[in-house]
Amino acid sequence: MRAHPITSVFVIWLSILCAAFLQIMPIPPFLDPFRPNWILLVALYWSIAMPHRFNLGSAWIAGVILDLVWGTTLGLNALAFVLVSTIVVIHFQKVRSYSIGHQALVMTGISGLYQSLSYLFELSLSDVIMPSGYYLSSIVTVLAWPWLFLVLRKARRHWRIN
Amino acid sequence: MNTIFSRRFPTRLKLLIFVLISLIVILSTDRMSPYRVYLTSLLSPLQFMADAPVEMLDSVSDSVKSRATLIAENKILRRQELEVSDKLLTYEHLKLENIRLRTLLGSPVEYTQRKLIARVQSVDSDPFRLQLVINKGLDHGVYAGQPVVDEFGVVGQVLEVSQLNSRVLLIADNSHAIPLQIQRNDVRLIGLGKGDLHQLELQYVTKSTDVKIGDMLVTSGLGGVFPEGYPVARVSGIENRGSEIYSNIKITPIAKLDRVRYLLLLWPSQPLETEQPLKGE
Repeated sequence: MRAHPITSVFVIWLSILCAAFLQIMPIPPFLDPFRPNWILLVALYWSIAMPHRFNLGSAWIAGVILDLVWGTTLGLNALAFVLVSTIVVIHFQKVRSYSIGHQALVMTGISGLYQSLSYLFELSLSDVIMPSGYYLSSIVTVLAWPWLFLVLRKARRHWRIN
Repeated sequence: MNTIFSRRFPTRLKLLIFVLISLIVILSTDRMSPYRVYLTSLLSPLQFMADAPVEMLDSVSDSVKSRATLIAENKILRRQELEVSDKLLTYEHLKLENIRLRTLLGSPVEYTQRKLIARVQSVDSDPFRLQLVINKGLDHGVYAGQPVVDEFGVVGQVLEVSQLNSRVLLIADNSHAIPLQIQRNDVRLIGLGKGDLHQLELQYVTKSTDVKIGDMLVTSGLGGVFPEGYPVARVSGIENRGSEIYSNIKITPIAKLDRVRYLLLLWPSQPLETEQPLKGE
C-alpha cells in the first residue's frame, strides 16, 4: 500500500523543518564549527531517494529556508543548493546504489562544494573573511550521513512514502 | 508515471530557471525586504523552539539560586546603585543646564524617549555574518535600522524584523560602519567592522589627526541611525607606515559583543521635519 501523495509531501517538508531546527539549535560554541549542514543533507537525501517528489525546485525552497533562518542574503544559499543538487539529481540512480560509506564520502564532497560556492557568493557581495575551521562542517558529514540516511529511510518506509 | 523519460522539463532547463530566479532574488534584495518580513515570521517559531530549552534553564537556575548567592548579588547591586545614583545627581543638573544652553544657541539636543529590553535568543546564524537574534519584533515596534546598545556601549543596529523577533547586525560585522567622534576633541571619524568581535578599524584618519591610544570614541549622531553620545570603542593601537597618507588605527569595542545576553533597543526621538529625507532607509 502506498501513502497518499499529500502524506509524502508533508513528511518530506516536516523533515526539512526538523533539519532547520537542528541547524539553528544552540550547541556549545566549541562544537559549532562541527555542525553539518542538516538542511542540505536532508535535501540531498530526498533528491536521491525520490527525485519525482523532491526536484530542483524543492531544493531551491530548502535553500531559501536556510537563508531565512540564518539571516543570509535571500537567494544565496538557494542558488548554491540548486547547483549542488543538480549534480546529485543527474546521477541519482548511481548514487542510490552506492553503499552507505561510499555515499557518505560523495556527500562530503558535495557539501564541501556547496560550502565553497556559498563562500564565493558571499565574497562577491561583500569582502567577508572565511571563519577558521569553515570546512569542518563538511568533514563531519562523513559521520553524520550514515545516521541521517538510516533515520530518513526508516521514516520513508514507516509512512510508505512514494 | 515513468519518472525517467516523461519529465516535463529536462534537468538542465530547470537548473537554468532556478539559477536565474536566484540571481534575480539576490540582486533585488532591497526590494524583497518587505516580503522577507512575512517569510521570516513564518519560520521564527523555529527560533523560539530552539531557544526554549535555554530560556527554561535560565529560569530554573534563577529559581534554585541559594540564599548566599542572592545576598551576595544583592550587595553588589546595592553598591552599584549607590554609585550610579551618585552620578545621576549631577547628571540631571548638567542635562538641564545643557538643554538651556542649547536652547540659547537655537539647536536643542534630542534625547532618546523610549527604550525596551530584549533578550538574545541563542540560535545559530550565517557563519560569515556577525548577527544576533533578539526576542522583540514588529509587535513591539522594532524597526529595521534601529540602534541597539548594552549596558556598556553600542552593540549594533536592527537588520531585519519579523513579527515576534528580529536580527541585529553587530558593529564588528564586515558590512557595518558607524560614524564616531573622539570624546576628548570632537574629531569625527568612521569606525569600520572587520569581522572580528574584539577589534574595529578607523578609516581615513590622516597622520596629523589628533588621536591617542586610550581615546574614548562615542557616536557622533551623523547618519541619523545612532543617537549622539553613546560610547562605542576605545583606541587600542595606532600604526603609521612611512609612505601612506592615512594611519592604521585599531579600536576595541566597549560593549561585550561576544557575551551579550540582554540588550536595550532605543527609539531616538524623531528628527526635525526638514531632516526626514536625510534619514532615508
